[in-house]
Order: sequence, then C-alpha cells, then structure tokens
Amino acid sequence: MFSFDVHSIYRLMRDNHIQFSYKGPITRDVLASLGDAIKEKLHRDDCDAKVVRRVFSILVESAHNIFKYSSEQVLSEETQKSTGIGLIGIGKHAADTFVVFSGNIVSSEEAEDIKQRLELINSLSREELKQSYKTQLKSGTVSANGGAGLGLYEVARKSERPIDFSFTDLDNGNKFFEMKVYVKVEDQNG
Amino acid sequence: MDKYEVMATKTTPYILLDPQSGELLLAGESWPENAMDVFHPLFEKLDEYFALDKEQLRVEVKLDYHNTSSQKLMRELIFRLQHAQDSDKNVILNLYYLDGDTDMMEDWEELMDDMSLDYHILERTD
Repeated sequence: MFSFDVHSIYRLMRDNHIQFSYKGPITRDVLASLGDAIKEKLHRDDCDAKVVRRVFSILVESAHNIFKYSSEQVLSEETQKSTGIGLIGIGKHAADTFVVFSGNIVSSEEAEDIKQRLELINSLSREELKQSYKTQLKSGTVSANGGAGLGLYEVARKSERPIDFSFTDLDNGNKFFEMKVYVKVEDQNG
Repeated sequence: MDKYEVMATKTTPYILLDPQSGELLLAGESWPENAMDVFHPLFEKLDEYFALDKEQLRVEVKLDYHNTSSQKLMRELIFRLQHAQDSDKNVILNLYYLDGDTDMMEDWEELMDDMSLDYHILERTD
C-alpha cells in the first residue's frame, strides 16, 4: 500500500536544510505548537529576537492564508469550524537567510486572485509597500472570517523580496499554490 | 458593571477592563484565526464602561505579538477610544513594544498616525 521510504523524506529535508515541516489541517493548536517549536529552536541557535519574530509572523500569516484559501477543508473538532489543509514549514536557505514555505490546493479562481495580489506586491518598492499596507489598514473592514486583507502585505514587509511563488496545474482544474518567503538575518544595528 | 477579565491563551491576549481602577489592559499575544472573537466582546464591555459616569480610562497595550487581523481590530479599538475622548472622556493610551522590537514600534506609529487621540509609544524591558 505504502510505497515511500522515510529515508527519502529525511534526505530531502536534510539536503534542503528544512528544520520543520507539517502537512495537514492547520488548526490553532498545530500553529501554536509549531510556533513554540520554532521560537525555541531559533532562540537555541542564538538567532536575533527580531528575526525570530519576523519568521514567526510570516508563519502565522501564511498559515492563516491556508485556513482561508485552501480548497481542501476539514471540520475541526476543536472549534467545530472548517479549517484548511496545507503544508507549512521553515528551513535555512543560506547561512544568513531563513525560508518560510507553504503550499496548499486552491481553486483556479482563488489562484488568479492570489497571483494578481502577489504580482502587485512584488512590483512595489519598499516605500510603496509601506503606503499600500497603511491604505489597506485604514480602509475596508474585517471580513466574517477575520481576514483584513493585510496578510500578504505583512509577509512582504518582513521579508526579502520578491516573494517566490508558483502554481502547479492539477488534474481536476485546481492548482497547487506554493510560496517561499525569505528572511535575512540583519546586522544587529540594521 | 463587573470587572471584565479574560485569561490569555497561546493565541489570545489577557484582557482586563476594571471599572474600579478605570484601566484597560491587553497583554500577551493576539493571533487568533478570527480576531473579532477577541475584540468584539471587549468592544461591548467598553460601550458599557463608557456609559458609566466615569471620566477617565487608562489603556495599557502590552502585546508581545499581534497578527494583521488583530492590528485591524486594534484600529477599531482606537476609533472607539477616540470617540470617547471626543465625548469628553479623558483617555490615556500607552502602546508598548518589547525592547528592540522596532517592527512593533512602527506598527503602533502607523496605527496612530492619522488619529487625534493622545497616545504614548513606549519601550518595555520586562
């Protein structure tokens, strides 16, 4: 029935310096444990508190995107609400750069919407990004599911740009959306 | 009205609205899936508080981390405080950020930059 070997997963994670990865329903408890594990790991590695906070923030905003946009949903026993399934994790991209990665299945309509938003965000300068974030913060309201339309802006603000993303076509017309976000360890004075 | 106190969880802040001392405190982390679940009950209690014959409210925001959904609701909180001030309440607002957390300091600056409410952004080392 199962035709995979654990060793191949081990090698894939080791060779790509992936420190954590989780695939499944992104519930609040999962996110809280993942957050704790990552904070502890980064602190142990003597990471700058600012970098830890940025990595954590990007993780939270990416996870909330999966909550909302994943077309694979299950009913959470914990909250009795529907929650999205996806994959999320962090790794080391280079000695001074972390990567927060996430992936989930989306409908082709959602894919188009996400693509347009990310392309826009990637086209903005730092200053324009700051202004767009502020405009979004000050306009509109929070949607029924708690979305403020700020998540991707926040991800972009706290990372090296551009945000790396792609879509893979799936058989049923849906797409697999993946996003890699890089966070650089700044100079202590930076 | 009774004291309104909500204990912190991993993803929601400690909240205390104490009509005796005239103080509202938010502390800890705020990144629930839906921040309205945290803030809307608080807004109702605040309405109740401002309906009392109280002249002052001191607001202390000591969050270590809050997500974008919470930031949006913080803005709604500030609007409510501003409205109270415009209705002759004395509102003292202190927004704290952890030592060295310039990202949060900027978050607070952006939150407040078009508000008429008096406020202080303060570094904390606890």
